[in-house]
Amino acid sequence: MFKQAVNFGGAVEDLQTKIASSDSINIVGTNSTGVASNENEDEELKAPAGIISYEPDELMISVFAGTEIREVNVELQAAQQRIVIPDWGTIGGAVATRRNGLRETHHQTLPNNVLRCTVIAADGSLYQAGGQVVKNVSGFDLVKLLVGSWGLLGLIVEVTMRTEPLPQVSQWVKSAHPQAREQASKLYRPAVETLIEGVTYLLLEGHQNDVEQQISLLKGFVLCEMPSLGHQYQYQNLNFLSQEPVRSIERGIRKQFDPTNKFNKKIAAQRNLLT
Amino acid sequence: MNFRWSVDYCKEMSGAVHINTAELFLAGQDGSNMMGSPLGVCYPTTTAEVQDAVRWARSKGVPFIARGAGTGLAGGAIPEDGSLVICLTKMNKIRSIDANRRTAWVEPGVLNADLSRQTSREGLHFAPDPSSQQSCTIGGNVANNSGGPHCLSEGVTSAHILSLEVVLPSGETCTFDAETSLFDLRGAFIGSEGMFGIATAIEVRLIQNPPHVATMVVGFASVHDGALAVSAIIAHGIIPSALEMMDAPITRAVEEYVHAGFPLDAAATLIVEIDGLEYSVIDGSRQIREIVSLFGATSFQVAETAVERARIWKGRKTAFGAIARIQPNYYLHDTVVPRKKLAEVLSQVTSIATQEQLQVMNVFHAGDGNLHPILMFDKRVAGVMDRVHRAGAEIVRVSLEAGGVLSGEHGIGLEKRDFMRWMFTENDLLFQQKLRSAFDPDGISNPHKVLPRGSGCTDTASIPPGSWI
Repeated sequence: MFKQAVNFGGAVEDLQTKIASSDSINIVGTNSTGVASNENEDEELKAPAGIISYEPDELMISVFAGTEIREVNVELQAAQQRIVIPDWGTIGGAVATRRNGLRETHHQTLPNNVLRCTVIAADGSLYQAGGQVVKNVSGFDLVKLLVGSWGLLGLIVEVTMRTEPLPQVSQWVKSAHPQAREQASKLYRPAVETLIEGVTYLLLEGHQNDVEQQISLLKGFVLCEMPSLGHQYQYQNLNFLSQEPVRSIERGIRKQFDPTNKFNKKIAAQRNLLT
Repeated sequence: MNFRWSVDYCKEMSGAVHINTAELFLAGQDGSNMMGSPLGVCYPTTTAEVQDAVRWARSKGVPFIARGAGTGLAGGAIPEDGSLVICLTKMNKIRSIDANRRTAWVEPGVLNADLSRQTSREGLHFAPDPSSQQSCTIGGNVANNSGGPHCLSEGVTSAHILSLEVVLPSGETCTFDAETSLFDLRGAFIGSEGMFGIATAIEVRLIQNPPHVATMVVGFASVHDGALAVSAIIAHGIIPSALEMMDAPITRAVEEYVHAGFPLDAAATLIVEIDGLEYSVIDGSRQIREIVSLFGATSFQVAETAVERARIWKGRKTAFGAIARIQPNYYLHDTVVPRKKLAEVLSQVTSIATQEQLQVMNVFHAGDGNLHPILMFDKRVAGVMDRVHRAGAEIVRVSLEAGGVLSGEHGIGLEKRDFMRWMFTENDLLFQQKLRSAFDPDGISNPHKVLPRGSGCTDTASIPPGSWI
């Protein structure tokens, strides 16, 4: 009677039927990472798109995972809010690939901002993780597992995320000086601190007077635009080194969630997760 | 359980496992009102000794349970009868502090408040600050994904843990971090209530102490007005570092105990703290003052000094101690509701307590909708526990009906295990069980917690006879 309502309509039901009856599925968004490109005869499936609910006062938005982030941002900007993900690809794609973008250095990265996911499992059934509240330790944290799961644990069809108010001022500054990072350490919690090709970039946000005062503490920095996210498009090698117990748990998770290797075989193979 | 059997087992561990009645009695309890009868308790001081204990338990088919300070309220640290308690309080060293990167490696037995005290000379602190922070351990915080008042702006424990060194239920060790696994095993482990293995070293993120802080105490003529003001502050785009509410009964109890200067004539008191750079604090405080006025604030004070601020927080965090002046026993609940439903659910909680003829007080993290109704009683009164449990279940029910969840920071443990089906479908629970199975295929690490019986096929193996569950 109190269970979270799982009624997302016909588009999700159609996907459930297709997944239940298919042997091999490639999950795609806008394919902005280049990793999930289809080279064989797998069925390509994409999550439905559209905003399900947006409550600016609750700082929370629920969307179908196939919704493009720029579309979400249009809604959010009208209410003077934003989400933490960079403005390209789909919400589901960003969640599945744990795309933090430049805000990686700040603790409010993507995993901490995803509150709920609804997923179609390999057998076509739906499962839900998390809830539509900002604080939740009810059971194991499947949301953290799903964020960055590369589609290997099912097709994420719905995502509920935190939104945040836009800051009064948002200003990037940069410096190529070797001591730039020491300068940065004088500041109080810049929103972003990142090094791209030898250049230190800082994002300062908040009250205008505070941002100006923080900039005045820096020597050798100049104001700039947001650095290009181009480096993010680079091919990601998913077969990085891991300790054997870690590999073993990863294999165990994949086997539990997708026992017949239905989802994203190419990615699973790259990570040696085919069972 | 066969006493001889347990003594023989413990002899094999060369005296490392303690089996005297007093220690077993203590190891059988936590902050809940439940109790278990463990086989023995050991106090490892190194990761290798934790491995030895896990391997020994495994070789005997004995379940094991990691334990910190035992302050948990949901029974997560209550041992299964006949299990080995691996108490980590002697692993209490801060291994290293990296002030430049603002991180530290700590052992699981380090006390939460000690970590922030030790890093204060670097101008840094560990953000999660549960009310039990003077006595709870970082390992326990990891197991429960603990919160606290300042998690409103900073996020709960999971947002502050970078890496974990873990002894798995297999006895192997490994490290979970952001770089060396595909799936976020670090994130999945945090909040797993000791059922995925034992964290033996924890890399925490430390944050800079704020240069400016304003702590405001605001009185309201009704809980309803206070709850609406909470929603309005957040809706206005202000995320305070903490936004706490106390109702009149708890405010009176606390004020008599701590003398923090809380308004005794208010039906609800908000503690609103905002921190950061100078102008954001000045401007934020001004906006908060305007908003609470619109919602009928009857008093507004700002702490002028660090001493005043400390007294306010002492009042808030020792609220549970103050209850002892009213009734000998209390039951503290923990649910979360959408902020917009706070006023409605609080009114339902009052009705539930009245219906069951129980006194109720509320002191809670209003900013994130995290309710903590406290039911007060004298357990010597016949039949009172039935009423307490009925009221508790009803509070859970109304919270879920309002779109909320079972727990915001205390966890599920044993207390709410059988309520999991109220929130999750069988399929949702099946996938939680699948995750558990990937970490602990034999179900020997703190078995029978969190997931209701029948939601999976593990957690039935290797349970010695006489199990209480």
